[in-house]
Amino acid sequence: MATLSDQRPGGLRGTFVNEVESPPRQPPILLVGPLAWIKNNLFNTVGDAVLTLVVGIIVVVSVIGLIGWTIAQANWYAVTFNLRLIMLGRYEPEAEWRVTILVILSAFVIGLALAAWARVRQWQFLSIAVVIALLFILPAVITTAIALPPWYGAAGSINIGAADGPMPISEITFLGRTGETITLQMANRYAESDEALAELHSFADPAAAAVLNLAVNRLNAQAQVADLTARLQSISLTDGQRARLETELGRITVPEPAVETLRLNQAAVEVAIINGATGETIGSATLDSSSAPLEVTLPADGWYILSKTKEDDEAISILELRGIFPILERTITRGGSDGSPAAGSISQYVRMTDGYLLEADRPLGEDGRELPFAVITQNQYRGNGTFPDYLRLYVAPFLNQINVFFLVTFIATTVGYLAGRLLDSRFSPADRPRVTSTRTASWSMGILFIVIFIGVWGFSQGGVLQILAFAFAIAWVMIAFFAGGQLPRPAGWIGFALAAGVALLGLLRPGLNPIEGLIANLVLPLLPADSATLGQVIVAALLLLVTAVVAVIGRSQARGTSQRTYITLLIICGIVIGVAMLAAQPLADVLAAALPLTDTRRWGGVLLTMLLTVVGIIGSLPLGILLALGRRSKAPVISTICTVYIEIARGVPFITVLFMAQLLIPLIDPTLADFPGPFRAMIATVIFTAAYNAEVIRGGLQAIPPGQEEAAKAVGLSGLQTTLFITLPQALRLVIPPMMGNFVGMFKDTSLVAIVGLLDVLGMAQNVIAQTEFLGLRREMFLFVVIFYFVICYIMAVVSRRIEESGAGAAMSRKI
Amino acid sequence: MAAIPNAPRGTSSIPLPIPAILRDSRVLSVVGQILFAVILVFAISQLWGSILFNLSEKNLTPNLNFLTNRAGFDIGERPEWYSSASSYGDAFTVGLINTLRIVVIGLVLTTIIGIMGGIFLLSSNWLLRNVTRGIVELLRNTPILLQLIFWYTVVVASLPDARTPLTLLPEGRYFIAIRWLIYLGLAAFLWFGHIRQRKPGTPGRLFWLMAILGAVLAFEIGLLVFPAFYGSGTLTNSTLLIYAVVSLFLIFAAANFIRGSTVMRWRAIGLAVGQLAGGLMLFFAALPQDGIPFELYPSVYIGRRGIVLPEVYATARFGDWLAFVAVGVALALILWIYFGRLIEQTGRPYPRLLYAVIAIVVFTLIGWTAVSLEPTPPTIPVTQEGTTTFMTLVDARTAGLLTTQDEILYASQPILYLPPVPRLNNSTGLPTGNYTRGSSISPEYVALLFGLVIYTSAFVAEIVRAGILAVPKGQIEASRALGFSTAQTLRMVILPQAMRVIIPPLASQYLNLAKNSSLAIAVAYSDIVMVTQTIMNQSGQSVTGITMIMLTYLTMSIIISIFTNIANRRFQLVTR
Repeated sequence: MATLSDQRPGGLRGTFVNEVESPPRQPPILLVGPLAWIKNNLFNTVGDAVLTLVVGIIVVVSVIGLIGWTIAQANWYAVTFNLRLIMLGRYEPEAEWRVTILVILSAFVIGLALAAWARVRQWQFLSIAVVIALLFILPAVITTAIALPPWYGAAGSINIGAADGPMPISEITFLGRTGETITLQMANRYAESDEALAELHSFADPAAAAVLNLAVNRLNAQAQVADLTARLQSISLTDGQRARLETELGRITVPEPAVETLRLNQAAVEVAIINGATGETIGSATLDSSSAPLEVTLPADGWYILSKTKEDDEAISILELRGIFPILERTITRGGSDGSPAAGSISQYVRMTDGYLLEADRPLGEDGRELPFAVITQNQYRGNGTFPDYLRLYVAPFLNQINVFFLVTFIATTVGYLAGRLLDSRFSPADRPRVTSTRTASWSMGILFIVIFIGVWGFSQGGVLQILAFAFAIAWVMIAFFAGGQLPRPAGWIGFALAAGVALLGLLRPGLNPIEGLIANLVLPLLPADSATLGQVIVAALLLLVTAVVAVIGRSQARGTSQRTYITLLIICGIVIGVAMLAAQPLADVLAAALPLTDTRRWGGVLLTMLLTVVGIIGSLPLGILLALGRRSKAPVISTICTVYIEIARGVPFITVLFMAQLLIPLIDPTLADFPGPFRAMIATVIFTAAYNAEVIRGGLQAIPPGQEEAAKAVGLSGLQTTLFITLPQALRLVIPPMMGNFVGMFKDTSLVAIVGLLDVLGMAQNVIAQTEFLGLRREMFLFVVIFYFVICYIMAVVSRRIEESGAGAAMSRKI
Repeated sequence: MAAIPNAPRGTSSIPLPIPAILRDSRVLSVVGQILFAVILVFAISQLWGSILFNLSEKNLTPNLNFLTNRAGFDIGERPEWYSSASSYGDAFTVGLINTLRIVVIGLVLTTIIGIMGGIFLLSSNWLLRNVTRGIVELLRNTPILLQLIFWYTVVVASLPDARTPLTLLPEGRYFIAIRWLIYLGLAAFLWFGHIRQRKPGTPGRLFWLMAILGAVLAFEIGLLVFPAFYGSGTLTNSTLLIYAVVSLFLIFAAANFIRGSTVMRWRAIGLAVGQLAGGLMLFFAALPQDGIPFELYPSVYIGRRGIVLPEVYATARFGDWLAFVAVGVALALILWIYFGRLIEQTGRPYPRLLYAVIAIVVFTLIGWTAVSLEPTPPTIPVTQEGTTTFMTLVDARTAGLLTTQDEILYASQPILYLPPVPRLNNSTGLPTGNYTRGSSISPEYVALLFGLVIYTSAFVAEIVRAGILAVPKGQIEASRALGFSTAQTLRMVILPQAMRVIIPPLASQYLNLAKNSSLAIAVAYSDIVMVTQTIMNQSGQSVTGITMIMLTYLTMSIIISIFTNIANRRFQLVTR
């Protein structure tokens, strides 16, 4: 539209400017846009194109194969059925609520951490909420929209397939619930031809499955003959090959059609549904291929008997029975785990499709024997499953099992996040808006690990309390030691040394030498608990007195924040130890009643894996720091010892360390023969991982510029202070990503405990698939375990990457 | 709060009367170390003492005497000399050999696959790059034990049955189609005689390239999709006219469709003309349909019971052949050094590697032919049912009287290659799954090797990728600017610098592979850990056994460390 007219005096006259803008031209499609992307990234050169095609075909084929297998062939009930076992092992059901609370607590802390170190956007929150809602909506929709597949049972009195083939069972028992409708009819659509019969896909009893197999075998034989004949036509056969194929072809005999040999569904069947408890017949009919289905509504929960007898002896009928499902029998032993007399074995019967559980004896037949039931091992799903069946049988029950867990976790995380934000808005100074939530999250994370361990394990008569006291005593000694060099007067020094000595003395047991006393304190829960003796009371009183003195003198003399922090920590430790020693017995009684010790042999599944990881992390980190400092120490003895330890631990495989812990611990003392396996594995994990952590931390220490240390020396800090306040914090922050890598490795390595007989996720999975009813389901099980490990490791890796990218490794930025 | 907040430190505290020697940090350090060492030694000796005591209670004081005792158990994977009558020490050696078999082969394979993976991770092809990335992430984030069990119980178990194994190469009669040879000849003729003289991107060259491609495509696709058309065309056939019209239409359609690009237009025209020509050849059966037959027989059988490999022997003539090869190698060395000097003196890029390879190849082939020309004895002694008779080699072979030793002795080639022969069932004539010849690899070995190699390769791939990415881009650009080819850039600029970054973490992955081989117990492979466990269970010498395993792995770790350190030093930047 712009009209250019030269208006300057003396400007060019008659200058022509095209007023119409030239139409915009599309850029070449091969240079911009999606086509260009495809060309540049997939078909840039001829070789590239071939590569893309080959890789694409492989990917498409394998993905389609995997999905097809997941839906049509895989039998996921080994996973959906054993979910509790894989999650918690055989952890006592009475103590399960503790795990729930710990999960909620962990989710809360994760929420706090999110508030401290990340920001959740609204759409992220909403999309997760939608997913959680879907976890509830989907199973409901699937359950109402898709009917459960029927169960096919054969009736007749001849052996199917061979002389020793299965014969239909005339009476079979099943579980039913009030108001359920059982529909019985002839399965005519499968009786027309072998091709139709081969398409049968649902639950089927062994006889019906044998009928199905006859049809499938015939079709297979036909297909094989056709295939061999076609291959023999080919010119690309060697003489030997041709001879072999001919032999093979000669050996194949195509059987007669199964539908005809068995005269499928050509005779009438008398069916009846009988109440197993009362013996009364609820409904009966004579079914033939044209009769209407028989519908029976069940009056009560419990056992029912289906009777299907056949008048014609020479024919087999396949019945479609809606509302009857295979059952899993479990024999469980009640009681006995804590030493109480076992209540005896009880048979439980669980319906496969919905987990309906019944503890009642099976009804007896006329001859007084227990009637057979649709046992899950023989009545599995046959044929290729359909997508609706996959949804109804596996997806919906699975989602139903996990949705509450996810909802609770989600709510707890949300609450934690909101709490973190609230803390920040109330207490954080304006220049550091997230400092409160960051501190809260760090502290709760540190404490959470200990809480998880104690919460899962429980309290013995004072054992854990004494361990706690012991831990605090060690903490006190260390703090006193570190603070000693800092405090103003030698009096402070002496006071702390005294306090530390008293704290350690108080934990020594009378009649034991120091080493034995130390070990006894470490493994206290295994030893019989004793009430507080007079000596302990005196020591505790002394301890509290010293604490009070420290509190009064120390706080009055303290200068600066760090000294005050030290003294506060000392006072806390002193009070905890003193109270624990004084109140050990009554407190232990209360705690042991509320949270009794769980049987470590019953720990398993994800629970055990997580405990091993948690203990590995909290144990190996401090040990690793000490080893790294030791290795860098200028004292030759210490550095040699640390180096030797680190190199040996890094030079041998983890499995040998596990074996060693397994073998050597009972040899240290015969009383340790019962030392629980999980704890042995934990010790091995800590010993092994600490060496790797030490190397990573050493790398971090080496990366600190020497100027830092020199500057610290220049301002007069002692060696210990330099390490504690200058080099170590920087080094630790620097090594967060590789440390996370170590912990991911350790998490994966915990699976090795399966070799020494512990039932972690992998061990439990192997255990489950070794059971008769889950034989042959190992692919499904392993796929599930693979997904479990992958998801957790991947999340850890992503978190580590985020930390690395956020620059947390650099020195903390702070506004001046 | 602080009572005397501003008081200087020294003034308010009374110095303690500690003698100077106790305030000397050197003295304190020595005393502290001695104290530490004493406490440590005391604690360890206490622990060790109680372990020894408890062991001696059970009459199991650790010693090495049990190693000479009879083992009494069989090992799944064993050399010929081991039997259940051998000693514990022998059993341990067998375990060690088995571990080394896994580790050595595993290291080589891991390096190859890992480097390939690293290159895939850096591929410019989006699909390949991301598929590899997904696989690597999956492998890195699942436990090795799980992967081993998966390989053993799922992958190896779902291989075909031993009676219907997979074979390499697939048996059958194959054909080299004569027309493919003609294509090759034609392409070579056109390339060297016509196209090569034209500059890349010129219309003529594009035209000819696409014309050949179009003709081949038209002929082959036509033969595949409409085999009935082959040779059906005569000049009167109206389909020919239709074909011509369609092809011409295609030419113009293509040329018009891609406007503005000369290159594309010429390509389209070439393709269409070639297509027309190919179609015509199909109609008039200008090219023969049949091929030259040859037969392939399998030499590797892969089944659920393991892999059966052919046996390869050095025959009696191997030494003579080796002499020829040695001469070739010597000549290659001389050429290498000579041309190396020439390159240094003149600066001309002589292809000295090519010359060296040619020298070796030529002498190897000459040697092979010369050695094979030497006649075999007309008749050989054959022992049959105790009596020795003389018969010709062919007769003896057909009569099945030749042992492997005889084959080695009378073979005309320097290397004897004996493929496994499937044993057939006498009554049915079908394969039994056993073989009369061939060395077999157990499924346990295969599962363990694959599991370890694939797992470690994922880590190595990441290391290689990171190493190559660590080379500054300016280095590559500079080498391009100096006129280096892609291969030269890779060989002389990228790799030497990348190796510096790659070797240290690679060494640690090698160590991991060696250590992870101890998980053989999960797939029931008789490695050192599994064998020693059996020894420990039988003899009760658990402490000795564990110590022996640990020492073995420590030694292995140290050896690998030494090698990788040497490599590391070789690639380090030489600085003053």
